[in-house]
Amino acid sequence: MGRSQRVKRAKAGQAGSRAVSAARRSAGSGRAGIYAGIAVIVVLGVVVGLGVWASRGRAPTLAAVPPVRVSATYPVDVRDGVVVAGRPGAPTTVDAYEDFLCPICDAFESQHASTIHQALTAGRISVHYHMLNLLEDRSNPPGYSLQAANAGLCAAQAGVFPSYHASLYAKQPQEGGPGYTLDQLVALGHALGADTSFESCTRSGTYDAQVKAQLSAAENNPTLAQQGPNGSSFGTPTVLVNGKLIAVLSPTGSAQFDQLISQASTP
Amino acid sequence: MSRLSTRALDVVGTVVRLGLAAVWLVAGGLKAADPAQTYLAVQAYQVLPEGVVSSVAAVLPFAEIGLGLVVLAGVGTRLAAALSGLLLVVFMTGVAQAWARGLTIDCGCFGGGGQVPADRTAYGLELARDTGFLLLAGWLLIRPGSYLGLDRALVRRGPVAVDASQ
Repeated sequence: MGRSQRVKRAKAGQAGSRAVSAARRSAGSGRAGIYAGIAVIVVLGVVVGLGVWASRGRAPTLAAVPPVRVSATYPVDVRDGVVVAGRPGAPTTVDAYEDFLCPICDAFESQHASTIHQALTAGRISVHYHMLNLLEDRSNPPGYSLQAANAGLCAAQAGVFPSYHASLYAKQPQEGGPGYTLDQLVALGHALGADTSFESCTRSGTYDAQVKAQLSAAENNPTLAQQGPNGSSFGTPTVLVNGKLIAVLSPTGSAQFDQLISQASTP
Repeated sequence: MSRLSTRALDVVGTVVRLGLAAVWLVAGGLKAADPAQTYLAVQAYQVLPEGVVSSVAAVLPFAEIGLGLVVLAGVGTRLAAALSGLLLVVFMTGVAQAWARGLTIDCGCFGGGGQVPADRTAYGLELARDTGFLLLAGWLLIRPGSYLGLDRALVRRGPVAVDASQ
C-alpha cells in the first residue's frame, strides 16, 4: 500500500475508521499483533525469571538446627534399628513410630515429650523409638526423612539421642520444603557433643537399611494399622503402650496416653 | 445495530478479560506464597519425575502471575488467551488422570493441594470450574476486543496501526 493511500486512509471519516478498527479487533494480526506477541513472551519470561530467582534466593535451605539440650539420666541403646530409651526392667513399654518430617509427630512430641521425659527419668517406662522414612519423598529435594532417621540412630550410638531427637522436632522442616542438609544434621550432632563416630555414621547412612526394614515391617504389621478416611493403614505417629495401640491424635486418646504414662508404676 | 452490539460485546469482553486475569493472579499468588505446598501439590499428581516436579513447582506460580499480568494489561490478548487455554487443558488433563487412576488429591488450583482423604476429593467440581475458565479463554481467543486494554491503545496510534490491519 502506497504512502498516499495510507494518508488518505488516516484521514478517512469516522465511520470508516470505526469499521477499520472493528476489522482490526477481529483480525488482531499484522505488525501490532507481532509486537503484542513479543510483549506477551517478554513479560512472561521476565515475571517467571524474577519470581523463580527471588524465591530461590529467599530460602535455598533452612537455617542451622537450633540445638535443644535435654539432660537425660536414663540409658539409651540401639537395637535392630530401634532406639531403646529407659532403664532396663521399666514396667511399662512405649513404642513410638515417628518420622522427623511428619507434622503430627511434631504435634505428638510437643504435647507429650515432657510427660515421657519425666517417666523415663523416674525409670517407670522405656520407650522404643522407631524412626521411619515414611515421608522420604515429601521433602524437596527428597530424602530428609531417611537422613534424619539415620542421624537419630547415629545420635543414639553417639550418646546424644534425647537432645538430638528434641532438636529436630523443635524446629521441624515443612513438608514439601527443604529438609535439613547432611551438613546441618552433622553440625547439630557436633553442637550437642556427639563423639567422632557420629559424622561418618550420619554421612554414610549406616542405619539406612535398618530404617527401611523397620518401615516395611511396620507397614506389614496389621496390629499397627489404624482406621483412617482412606481405609485401614499404617501412618505416623503410631503409639503403643504395653503393646496396645493408643489413638494419640484424638483428644480422648491423648488424655488416655498421659494417664497411662503418669500412672505407670515405679519399678 | 452492529455498532451497539459491538460495544456490548466489548463490555462483555472486558469483564471476561479482567475475570481471567483475576483467576491467574489469585491462583499464581496463592501458589507463590506457599512453595512447599505447591511442591506437594505438583508431586501428588504422580505424573512428573522427581527432578521435574521441583522445577515445575518453582516456575508454575510465576507463569500464572505472568499470564495474569498480560491478560490484565490486555496486550496480545489473543495469544495470552491461547496460552491460558493451553495451560487450563494441561491442568484439566492432570485432574482427569488423577481421577481416573483413583488418586485422592486436591487439585491445588488455588493453593493447597496434595493428598486428601478419599471423601474430600472434588474432581467433578474442579473440572467444571476449569471448564468455566476455559470458556473465558475461549471467548478472548475468538473475540479479543475489550476496553481498558493496551491492544486497543496500540491499534489507535494511527498510520502504523492502520497499516497493521492490512
